[in-house]
Amino acid sequence: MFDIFFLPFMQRALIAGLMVAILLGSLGVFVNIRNLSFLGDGIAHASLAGIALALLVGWMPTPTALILALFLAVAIFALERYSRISGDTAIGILFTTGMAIGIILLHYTPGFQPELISFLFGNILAIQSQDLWLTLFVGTIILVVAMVISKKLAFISLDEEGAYLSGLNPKRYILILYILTSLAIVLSIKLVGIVLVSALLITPSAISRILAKSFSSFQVQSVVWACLIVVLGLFGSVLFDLPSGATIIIVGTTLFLLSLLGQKVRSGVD
Amino acid sequence: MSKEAFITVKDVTKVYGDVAVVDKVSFSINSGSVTTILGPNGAGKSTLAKMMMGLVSPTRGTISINKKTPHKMRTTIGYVPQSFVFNSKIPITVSEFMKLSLHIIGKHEREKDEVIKKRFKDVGLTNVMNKKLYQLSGGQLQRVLIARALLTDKTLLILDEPVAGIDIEGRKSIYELLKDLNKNHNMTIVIISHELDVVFSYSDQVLCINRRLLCHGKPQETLTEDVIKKIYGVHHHAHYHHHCSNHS
Repeated sequence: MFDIFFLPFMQRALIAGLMVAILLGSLGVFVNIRNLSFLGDGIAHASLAGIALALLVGWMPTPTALILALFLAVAIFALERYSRISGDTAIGILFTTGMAIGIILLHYTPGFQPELISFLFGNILAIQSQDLWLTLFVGTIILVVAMVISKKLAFISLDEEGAYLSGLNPKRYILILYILTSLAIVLSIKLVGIVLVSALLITPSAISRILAKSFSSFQVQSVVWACLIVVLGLFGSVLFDLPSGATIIIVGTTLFLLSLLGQKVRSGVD
Repeated sequence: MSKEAFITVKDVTKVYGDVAVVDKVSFSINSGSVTTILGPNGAGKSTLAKMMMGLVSPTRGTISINKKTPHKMRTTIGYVPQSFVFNSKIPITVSEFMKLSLHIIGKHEREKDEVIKKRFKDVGLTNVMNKKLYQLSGGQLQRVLIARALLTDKTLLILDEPVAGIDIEGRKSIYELLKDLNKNHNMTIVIISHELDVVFSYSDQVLCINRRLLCHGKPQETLTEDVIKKIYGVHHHAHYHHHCSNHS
């Protein structure tokens, strides 16, 4: 049964999956604290425009979507900070506009697009060597930046005024957080799918928030839970011949419910 | 006490929508002084304090601290907010919370622990290091915020209703700590408070604000019965007489 893990496609999926799990698990903590859950959903859906454009003109979908995500992150940040609309509204507008542009571009793309289904719902078979290398390259940059600014992001996310008075520039770090999260979301799309990817950003940090006893534990657990969810999800996907994205998310939700139950039992015992 | 103007606020106005929450306010605060800002709720006291720290930009007018902009001077300002709004279920311990600001200036772990313990002792806090922030009572959280504002070297301390939720004995010890910081470390202190006792017992000067500056000067000379009535209405009348009888 475990032979499947030695097959090249599964190894690619596992390595890419673990990289995006580490990324989304670590960034998810800040998304959780800042109540930015909608950001992941918005970026993922809006990136359809980039993927559709790439499919239409024959470019590589993921790099195209990464560049679009970078612009979307800056646009969401600018609208949220410098206009009278809220972050949720800004994300909502860009999310639906991106999807609408994507649908129009797909309308002009001739023939059936099997790759599009992979992007929408996730497919471990769709992860090719070039996707893996791109994920590892961009993912490493995201991870290094996230680790370097982790403490500052924590300070800003918990107390923006206090962080400002300590000499930090909160706006700059929040923009970096949006950019890192947006890029990480796009890297995860082939594995989990546009429709479901935001759950991998939210669920591990939600489980960790329930179980952790300190902030450092909150951060470490979020990454551990994300890795566990991806590995068990991929394993379940192959074992039961199910779509990878949906299986990963169901595993995550199951673990979330179990952690909630565990917390109730523990507080009952206490 | 040094007499040079440390903070200069000149014709400062802050407009939100169509409402001027602070309207053409000008005053100066001397270095090494204790100033209390008095005023009813919604008078613009907190907005004024935030402008003095660079957290909010004035719509019109200028503010300088030691002849520099508040933004440039922000790391020298300790701030205790009126209410600390945070995501209340985040599992962060008090120790981790305190260390966030020390991490920015790059102190070693042992140094961090020593500074935190000293400040906790100063504000009368014990056995809270490993508690989660959301497990603290209102009074404990307020003491943590005061201790945090004093963790690094500051020349100016701005406290917005600093003793809300703290019992009478605790209030006294915190005001004595502020007095000590002012006298022995020449720290300039600005307190936003509703308590007239604080003004008379601990302040060198008082600023009365109700969107506009109503009075500015030494408490005993400035806070006449008429001025207090003008700020608060008749509600504080009895309190004032009670206070005068205690201090005369």
